[in-house]
Amino acid sequence: MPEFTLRVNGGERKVDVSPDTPLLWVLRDTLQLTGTKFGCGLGLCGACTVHVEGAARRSCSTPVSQVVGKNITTTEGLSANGLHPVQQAWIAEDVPQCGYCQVGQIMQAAALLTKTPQPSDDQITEAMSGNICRCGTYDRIRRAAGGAR
Amino acid sequence: MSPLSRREFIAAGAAAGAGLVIGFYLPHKGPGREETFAPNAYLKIAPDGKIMVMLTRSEMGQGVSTSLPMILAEELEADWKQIVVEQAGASTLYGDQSTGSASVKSMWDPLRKAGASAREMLISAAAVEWGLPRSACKAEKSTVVHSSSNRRATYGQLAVKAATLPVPTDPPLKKDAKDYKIVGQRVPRLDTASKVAGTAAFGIDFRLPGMKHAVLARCPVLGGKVEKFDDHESKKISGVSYVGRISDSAVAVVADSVWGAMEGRRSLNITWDEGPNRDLNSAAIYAGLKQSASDKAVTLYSAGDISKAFGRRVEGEYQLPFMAHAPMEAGNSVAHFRGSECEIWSPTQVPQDVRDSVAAAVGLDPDNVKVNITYLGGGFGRRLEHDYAVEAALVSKAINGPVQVLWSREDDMRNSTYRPASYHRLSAMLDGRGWPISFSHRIVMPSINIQKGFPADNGTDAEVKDEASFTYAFPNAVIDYVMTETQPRFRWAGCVRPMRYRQDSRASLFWTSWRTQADRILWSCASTCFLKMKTSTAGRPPAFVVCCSSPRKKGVGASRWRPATIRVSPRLDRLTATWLR
Repeated sequence: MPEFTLRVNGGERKVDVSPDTPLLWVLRDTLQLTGTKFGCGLGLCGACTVHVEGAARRSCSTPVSQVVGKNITTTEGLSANGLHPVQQAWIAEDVPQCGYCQVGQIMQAAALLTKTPQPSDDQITEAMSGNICRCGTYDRIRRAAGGAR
Repeated sequence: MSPLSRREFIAAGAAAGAGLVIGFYLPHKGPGREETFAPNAYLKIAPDGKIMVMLTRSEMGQGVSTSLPMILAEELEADWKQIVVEQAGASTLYGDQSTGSASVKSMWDPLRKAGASAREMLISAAAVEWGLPRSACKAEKSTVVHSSSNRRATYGQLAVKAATLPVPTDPPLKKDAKDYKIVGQRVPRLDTASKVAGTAAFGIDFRLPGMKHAVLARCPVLGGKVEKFDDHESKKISGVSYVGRISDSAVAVVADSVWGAMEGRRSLNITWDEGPNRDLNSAAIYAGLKQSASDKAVTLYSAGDISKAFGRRVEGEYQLPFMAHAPMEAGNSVAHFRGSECEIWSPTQVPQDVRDSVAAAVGLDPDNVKVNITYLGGGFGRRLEHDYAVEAALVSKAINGPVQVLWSREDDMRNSTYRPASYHRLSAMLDGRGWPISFSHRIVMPSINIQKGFPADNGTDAEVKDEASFTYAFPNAVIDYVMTETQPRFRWAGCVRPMRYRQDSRASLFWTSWRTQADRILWSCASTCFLKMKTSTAGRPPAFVVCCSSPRKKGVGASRWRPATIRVSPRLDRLTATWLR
């Protein structure tokens, strides 16, 4: 199998996987970065959201061969201590219930705020609308994303 | 140690280095298991002041890992900052550990008593230490204080001494909510930081050295079986180490990674014997339910006399589909079968059922099955089933090593256990303003409880009857129920049917409905749709209709709608319950 060199969380990691392997499984199973979650495998729920060159990307439907040489950031690399401004806003609002989708939600919100530091409420709703929360914490997600502006 | 009677009691003792340990024994009837006492620990107070509270329910987002310790800490007079929570695995010592909708309610008394017992013992320890009457000492913020002499000792300092004292049989409990310092306050969840950082470990995140990943190919027709399979192509996939039938109806593919296992499954060539349900389809299921609507029904609720109410008649029929629960974290479990014992790590609402079913499936005594509970990425009732754990145990046994079984989202939709499909026929008589003066609702659906083997009560499911008491209180109303046979296709979903497999699909995707049990969600969905579409209640929130439909509340009725005075959810349940009493 081919070997790829990935730039994950600021470091170079060599992985030996087939080119069509979704980035999600490379992160979780090859690199043991289990903070990124599997939800649907089809890019429909947002639980697997990571950053590729700073933009939110669904890792479950991103073949690893597409992100070689690009900067990939997962929750493990979002901040040194779990206290990125978006994470702090999430803590202030006590957002999570089961918590399973929240890493994806936070990565999505962090990407939005990098690109648009002062998003309107509508822009927040639009940017977050592809991330499903089965517990229904949407009100707090919206408030937290707004609080991180 | 002699077997003890089936009643609860508190015990205490000093564990090596642990300080004060409070055990609280709750009887739990296991299948053919005689309980003996072994010291468990609901609460440990260490000499360094750390207060460990054992969590005997599963954290699935409902907040029990914060709310249950709060209850104990309240009576303990603990400093909340010193509380740490430990997740209990399956045990015979904690009573029924199933996590449903009643964790706070069922644990309220035991946790308060455990906390109060420890508090009393700590106060006594201080009094003995100081040679002062214990009535002059009081507990606050993890400290015992004697105010007139300004003496203070922390719980940590007193823990070892307290452990040598007798346990109070009936410790005083706070009686008035105004005395609460922790309960009733907005306390941030203890699990938030790790869930926000992404370090919280769900079942899917659990790893063991050398652990393999497995997915299962299950028959696309529920109830079907594997006739034969060809794994030639699967075994060519890099990392695939095992392909094998693990039950009549499933083939497991094991690999180094989830993706490898999924690729291996895609390459499998299986011939299925689709079994008795091969020709069953949605149209036939709905036709069957509709046909049963004219069978004999059991009255669940009635008021007034619908035959005496006259007005404009409206009718409606509604059908609701079988529905997967779809928690965000798909089904999974890790198992490590080690010959004479088996260990499971599972995001489960029913650890004790996991233990017993795994034991039966792999041929071990339940005492040799250890079940650890991870965080649950949502439960919603789907994790009252434990098929994933049994599958993991069977695969682990087959490959003789640790393995994680993972369900894909497609597996979850196609082979899950489902909320039952139902058919609803409704009618109403409307007065001149279009307001219902009579209302009837016939419910046609199978019973989850009967499926699970509970006996019928007067031809019906007693729980169904309980749920029907919550309804629109129109002056003339009948709600009745035809309990249908379950389609065999849906009787046992999933690929494995262990001995104590529980069929219970009590949840739905109806997110915004009442926070109550599944049956009510279906009924309120049908009746609310009907009222909205067919009567002049349309456009008003259901809570408003509930309030206005009550004939027992003077001044609030169809003729005097006063929306501003009506408090809508989240107090709706209590409000309605009061009015219907």
